[in-house]
Amino acid sequence: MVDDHAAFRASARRLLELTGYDVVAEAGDGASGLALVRELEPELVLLDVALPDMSGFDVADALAGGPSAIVLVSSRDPADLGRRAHESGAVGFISKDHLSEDTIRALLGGDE
Amino acid sequence: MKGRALRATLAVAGVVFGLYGYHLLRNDLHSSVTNAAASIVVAWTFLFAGIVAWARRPESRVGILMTFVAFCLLERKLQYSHDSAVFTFGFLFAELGITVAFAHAVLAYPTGRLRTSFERWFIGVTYAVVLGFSFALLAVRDHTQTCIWTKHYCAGPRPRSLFAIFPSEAAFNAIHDTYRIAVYGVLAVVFIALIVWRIHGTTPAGRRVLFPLMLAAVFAATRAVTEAILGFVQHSDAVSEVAYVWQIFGQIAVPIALLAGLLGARLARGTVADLVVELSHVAPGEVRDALARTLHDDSLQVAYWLPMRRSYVDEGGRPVELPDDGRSVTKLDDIAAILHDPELDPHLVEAAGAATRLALHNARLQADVSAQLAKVQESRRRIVTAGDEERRKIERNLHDGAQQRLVALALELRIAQRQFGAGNPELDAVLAGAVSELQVAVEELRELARGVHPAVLTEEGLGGALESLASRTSLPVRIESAPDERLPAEIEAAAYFVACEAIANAVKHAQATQVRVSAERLNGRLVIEVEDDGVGGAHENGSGSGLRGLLDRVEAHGGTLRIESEPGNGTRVIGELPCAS
Repeated sequence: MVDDHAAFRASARRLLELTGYDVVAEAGDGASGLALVRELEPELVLLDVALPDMSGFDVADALAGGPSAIVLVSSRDPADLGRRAHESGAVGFISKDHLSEDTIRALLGGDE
Repeated sequence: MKGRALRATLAVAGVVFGLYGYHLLRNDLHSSVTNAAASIVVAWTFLFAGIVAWARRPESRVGILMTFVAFCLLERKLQYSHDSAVFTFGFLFAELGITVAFAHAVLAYPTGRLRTSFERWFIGVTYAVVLGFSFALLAVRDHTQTCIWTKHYCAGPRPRSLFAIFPSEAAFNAIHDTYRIAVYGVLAVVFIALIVWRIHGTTPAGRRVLFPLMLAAVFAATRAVTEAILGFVQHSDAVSEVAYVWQIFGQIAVPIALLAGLLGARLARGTVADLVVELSHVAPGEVRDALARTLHDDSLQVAYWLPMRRSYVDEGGRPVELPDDGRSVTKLDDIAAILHDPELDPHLVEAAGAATRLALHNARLQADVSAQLAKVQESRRRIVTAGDEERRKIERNLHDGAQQRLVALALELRIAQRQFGAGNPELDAVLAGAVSELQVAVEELRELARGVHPAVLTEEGLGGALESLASRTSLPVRIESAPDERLPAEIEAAAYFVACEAIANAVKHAQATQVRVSAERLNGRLVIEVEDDGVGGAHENGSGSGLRGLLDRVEAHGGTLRIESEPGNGTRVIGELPCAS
């Protein structure tokens, strides 16, 4: 889970763990997020679009082709993120207020 | 009248002095009639040119300087006297007229004042050098040995130097040779270089004015070469004769050219009368061109004085700094300053300026209005830019603050729903309802933030923002073109809001079925065009159109907004914004 808002990370972690996910690591910025994903190779990365040191799109591009499925999250609407939301290496996008077991499954469903 | 009497006295004195000089040349030096006459004519030419210039152009000191040269040249003849006192006096100042006083008059042309501190230093040093050498020669002159003039002359009684301290022919010859090298060599080269430098740095108009200087430079060069060659190399009398004739012609031509130059500037004042006639029809914006044409100075500029701002501005109201790069400034009272070639006669410039006074006054009023307009335009642009910046901050605060809290709350409710709702359908329904209400609130907040300032515009620029706008619009919107590169934030914002408002109007009022948007850079401008196929008939002051506010925003950035909206023919909104690459 890569997001600079600690409160969101805490809530999201509890929600995901309640639904059976095992959250293996958290990062507050793009660089440490990249390093952790490359080290731990998780099945799923929840990646915030707006990070303090770099754009979530850039992180997604850097991880594209790797073993982890990247899901972008943002409190903005996808229409407000411009064309990069559709062009990045992520498998999909979830608005933070819609984050749930169902929306994640819906996105990853095609892969499973 | 005082000056006139003085000039008359000097003219008479010069003529008498010339006749006495002729007597000395003929009877003491035994010069030929031709040579003696030519020598006096040279001095009289300077006298005539000097006094005429002095009378006609009293404001220029060149006339006085030429008169001074004339008397120096006449005084020179005293050195041919056999009388020791007259000889000593004559010899001491003999060289001034043909060297430094001549150079002084030439370099001071046309105002009579030396222009640079180097010129003043150079002329001052040369006066000292020439007088110093003359005195040194007198100090070592041995009248029994040294014959400095012709054999005929030396056959008569040789005058003594009243300043003789250490008579030595060898010392005399050594000092004399050194003098020739120093004055006719080194100092002549500096003199020529100063003239070449001055001609090089001037306009065609300046070159015309500086013609006498060019002539003087050629003369000085010729003289330096002949002195250098003939002074140290054996040569025939015929060569001496030719060199002498050249020297005479050169010396006569320079004062005539200086006088003609000064009077020529006076003649040019005749064109000022034409200027007055011409300026009765001239628009304020054409005053500069009219002045430049009359004064033959294409580089001429006019700076208008604005007393309220205590500064100068150009025709367009832009601030002008008066230069210190050698260009001359002629100030016309409290109206304007004319920046012109330094070679132009400032009195002529003043006269031309006075003739254009009324037109300049009008032009200044226009410049004043332009300056105020530019100031208002600038503050208007700053206000809009500051407004945009505020909107960006508000959007960011909404996003980082309220929106994040609502999102976190939605997640917390979902956690509660997961933990406690499974066995309690009533609670589950309440929590699900709360989550969905929160999502509506988040969406409304997003919509509000987007209207304040869309984040995608900040992040992705105009292209991304237009695509985002198109994707959210209920009508089909085709983005035909958008710049790939980022543009200044205020220009992107203005163009975006033009598209936003035009599309909103198409949806709300025009009953359109589709919209076409294009944004392109053309000749340093960003042209944004939004066209719909609706009912048309829109205009900028139409109720609820919001186009009036858009027009203000676009104009604040120096742009234009045009609306083509014939009833029944759809609406086309075309915004153009300055956008240099």
